[in-house]
Amino acid sequence: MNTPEINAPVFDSELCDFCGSCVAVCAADAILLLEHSLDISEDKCTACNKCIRVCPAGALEKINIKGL
Amino acid sequence: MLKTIKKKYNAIIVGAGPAGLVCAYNLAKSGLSVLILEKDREIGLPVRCGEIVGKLGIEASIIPKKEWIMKETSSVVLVAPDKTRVTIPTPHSAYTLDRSAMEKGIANMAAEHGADILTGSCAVELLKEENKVVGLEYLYQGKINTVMADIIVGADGVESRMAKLAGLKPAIADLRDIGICAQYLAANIPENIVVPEFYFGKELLPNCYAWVFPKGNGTANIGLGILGSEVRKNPPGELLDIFIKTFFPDVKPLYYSLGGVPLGSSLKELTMDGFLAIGDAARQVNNLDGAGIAYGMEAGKIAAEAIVIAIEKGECSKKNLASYPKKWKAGTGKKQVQSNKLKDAVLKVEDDTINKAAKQLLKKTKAPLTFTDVFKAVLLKQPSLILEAISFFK
Repeated sequence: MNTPEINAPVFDSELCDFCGSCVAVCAADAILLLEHSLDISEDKCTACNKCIRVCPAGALEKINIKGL
Repeated sequence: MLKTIKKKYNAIIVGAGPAGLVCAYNLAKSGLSVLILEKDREIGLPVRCGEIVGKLGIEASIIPKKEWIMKETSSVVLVAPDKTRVTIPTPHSAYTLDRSAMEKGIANMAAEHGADILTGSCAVELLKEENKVVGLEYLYQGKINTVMADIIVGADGVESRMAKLAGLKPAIADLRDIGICAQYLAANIPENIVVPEFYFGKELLPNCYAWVFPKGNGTANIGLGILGSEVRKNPPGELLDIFIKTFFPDVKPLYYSLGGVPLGSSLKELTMDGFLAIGDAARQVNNLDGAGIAYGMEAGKIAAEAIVIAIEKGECSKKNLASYPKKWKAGTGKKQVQSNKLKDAVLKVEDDTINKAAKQLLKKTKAPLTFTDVFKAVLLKQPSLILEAISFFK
């Protein structure tokens, strides 16, 4: 059985300040930011990692699960 | 509140920040039907901003009410890496604002002229007919609602999705074209801090500057910004804590916020049929210091003028909206291009140069200088140019 590779970063809502810097650098429009929530679309994310790099709160981290 | 929202408006403004609100107010004053949608539940908060604006800059777009202004100052202090402090008079005043009060104030002015407002409502989709924007969908209390318009104004900030959905490509590709900032509203500020202060120095503040903007009542906005490319190496929150421990060990936090600010060029295309972008959403920010209030408000005003013309002509087509991008590119857009060049030069300057320049400036502080002049004079590679610059910019 093959587990597909997961692109989207892991998000920690406790650390996030909802500043939107991640959205500002996302060319894939994969992030939906509301006042107190953030949703990342696995379908749209291209794993460019820019959101992880600019997050001032360290609320986004890379996850890599390939196969089993 | 939702029951009073109409099915169609002349203009829907997405985002109730300074740009969106000035645009909405001008449109409502012209007699057009306007809806303002704000995703946060309170207009004016959270404050992710130093809250400083030049008097001339803001008054070009709107005359501020007394209660929006915390302080008016006509000098700034530069603090060099070796802690030399220079007070420099500025030719025009600067205001430290209470943005929460100001934004509520402008929203009120728009409402007085008939604008509808809905907070806690996040625009999530643009509706198009044959490549023309005709309306949008917004999320309100968990449900999707539809509303149509002759024009949608994307004033939804650095995190703009509206400009993305309109195909204007606002996503910041180069991480040096975004500033990532941390700021405290701090209490127990020392009494000698009375005007805006700017701190430099590669050790404490690598590739960035820190600001201390007193707001009165013993409080000040203390913050710093770092380039997006440097955040993992130097998280701004950590740098800010070290900066405060070094310079202001006795202050206490009343409020903490993080934020991103565009520091690159404004969008190549600002309009499409039925849509335009203004403010941070359009990347209209001074690249040198991150100041966006005046730029955004001006864009809001000239965009509103273009919309009125387009509606009179019968359609908000890209062609009919052309006076907005034209005025922007010929006016403040040019200043922004200059600020971009200065930003590149400033990032290369060594601490030693700043220390020398500050000491030179200490000897010649009679000439009023604009903020850009100060950066030019203090941070150019050749300290001898400072004296020339000072005499030139009287």
